[in-house]
Amino acid sequence: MAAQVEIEDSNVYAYFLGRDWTDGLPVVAPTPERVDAMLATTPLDADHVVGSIPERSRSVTAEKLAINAVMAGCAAEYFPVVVTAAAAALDAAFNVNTVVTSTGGPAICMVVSGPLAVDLGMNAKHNALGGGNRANATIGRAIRLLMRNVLGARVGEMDGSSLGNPGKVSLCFAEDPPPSPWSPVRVDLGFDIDETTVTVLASEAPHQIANHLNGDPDGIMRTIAAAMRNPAQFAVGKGGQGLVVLGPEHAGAIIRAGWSRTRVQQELWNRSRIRPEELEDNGVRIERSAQHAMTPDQDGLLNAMASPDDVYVVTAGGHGGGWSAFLPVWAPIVHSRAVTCGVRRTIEGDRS
Amino acid sequence: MSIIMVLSPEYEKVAPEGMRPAERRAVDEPVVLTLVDNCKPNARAILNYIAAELERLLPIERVDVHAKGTSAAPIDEQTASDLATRSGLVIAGVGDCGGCSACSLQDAIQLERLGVPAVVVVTEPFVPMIAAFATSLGMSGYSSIVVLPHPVSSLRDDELREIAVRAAPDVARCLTTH
Repeated sequence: MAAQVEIEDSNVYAYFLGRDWTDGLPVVAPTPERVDAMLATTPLDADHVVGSIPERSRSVTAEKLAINAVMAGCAAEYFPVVVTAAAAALDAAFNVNTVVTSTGGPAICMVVSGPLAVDLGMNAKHNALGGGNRANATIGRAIRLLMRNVLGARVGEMDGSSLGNPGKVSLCFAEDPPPSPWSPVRVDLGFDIDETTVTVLASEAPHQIANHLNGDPDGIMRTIAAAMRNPAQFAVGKGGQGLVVLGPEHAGAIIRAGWSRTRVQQELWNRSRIRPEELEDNGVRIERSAQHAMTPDQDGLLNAMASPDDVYVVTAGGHGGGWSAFLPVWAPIVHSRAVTCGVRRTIEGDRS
Repeated sequence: MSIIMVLSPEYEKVAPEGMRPAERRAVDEPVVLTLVDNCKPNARAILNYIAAELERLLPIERVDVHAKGTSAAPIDEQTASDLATRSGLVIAGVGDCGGCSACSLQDAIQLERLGVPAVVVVTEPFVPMIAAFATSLGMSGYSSIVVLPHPVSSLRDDELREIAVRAAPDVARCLTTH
């Protein structure tokens, strides 16, 4: 059982701020009743270990996760998604220890795909990456508070972020199911249509992509690839991952023209590849180390994205503008990989 | 105004107890020095220059290098065990960012737990952070740390050699005395 402390109800914000338990914003007091209500939405025991971080000799229990979820402002019914997001972030492939320590200061971007996103009232449409939706804002915030309070990822402790980005407060949204014949992203990732999944990526802030005058999918791809083939991004030339969020106008043009998601991934991977000279012309030096072997392929190009499968493509956003977004994973794939977990499997204890 | 009960959101378990660095002693017999290179830019050059200086200061039988595939993860248990069986002294580094300095610290601590004197080489901004990591890993107050000026990734070779030569006596001291 977590330690308990008595405080004045009028003093919650000041008390939690003084203990460095918040992200700077007010929190909901994690009373035993609220935490119990959060835990009651899953079959997990309070001391169930959601994941471990051996690099910090720490582990995350369902109880501690629930406490931070209450603080974040989550409704109790959000907790299965919160647990799944945490499980994904604590997967070894994600390498959360480095994600929350790195000077690169990435956000933990979460994309929820499936029926629970609808049931919980998550926002997948207008302003999906902005604020104003309780589920989006608080599910993302719960994970960040977890990182601060349980993993010790705070400035002055075990977070070395140089700048960070606003997504470190919360960066969580739902996939807007794409028009036919595309399948939701969870299906393409191997999950059942009736499952709900959470995909986590250690990302930079979203890079907005504007193309308002070109309805040709080839042209749209060129614009998106230009955002991906950016010498200022750490992984470009080394091979990384990224999330492309197709707004409805761009998605509609692409899908109506018969392009599959697989084709989009392939085209974006290929068109974002870059010559070493482009990097050097922009002041980026070529690394020759074992971890970042920037050796061009036979065609003389380096990868921005490690492979087509490392380009995650989802649909989201509101109609009325030719906008999409690109969120690169902050570091090359050797450092961290995106992870997708299913809610049902996570809660039932099997994420295989 | 009323009094409410709230639960702590923090991690509360005490860090593992009883972890101490390896015993230090004067090195009189030839020893194998292993460099655990995190493969950050210029890390190998710095470590090599330090090793060259140590070969003048200590009876180094030979210098081995273990190059990590990634700076963003510590060496695994098996690798630590293998290195411990064939190393008399270990230098881990160079940590010049958040993730890599934490992982190089953990490399050093793993070898210390296996009885091998180790030192982690990091640049100045990351000293407070690795102190927090050392506490989290059960070796609070770990002091076998040599600090270099930051940055090192953009320095010329002659500059790297200069800072390595300046740091080498501290490295030798960390490896042989508490």
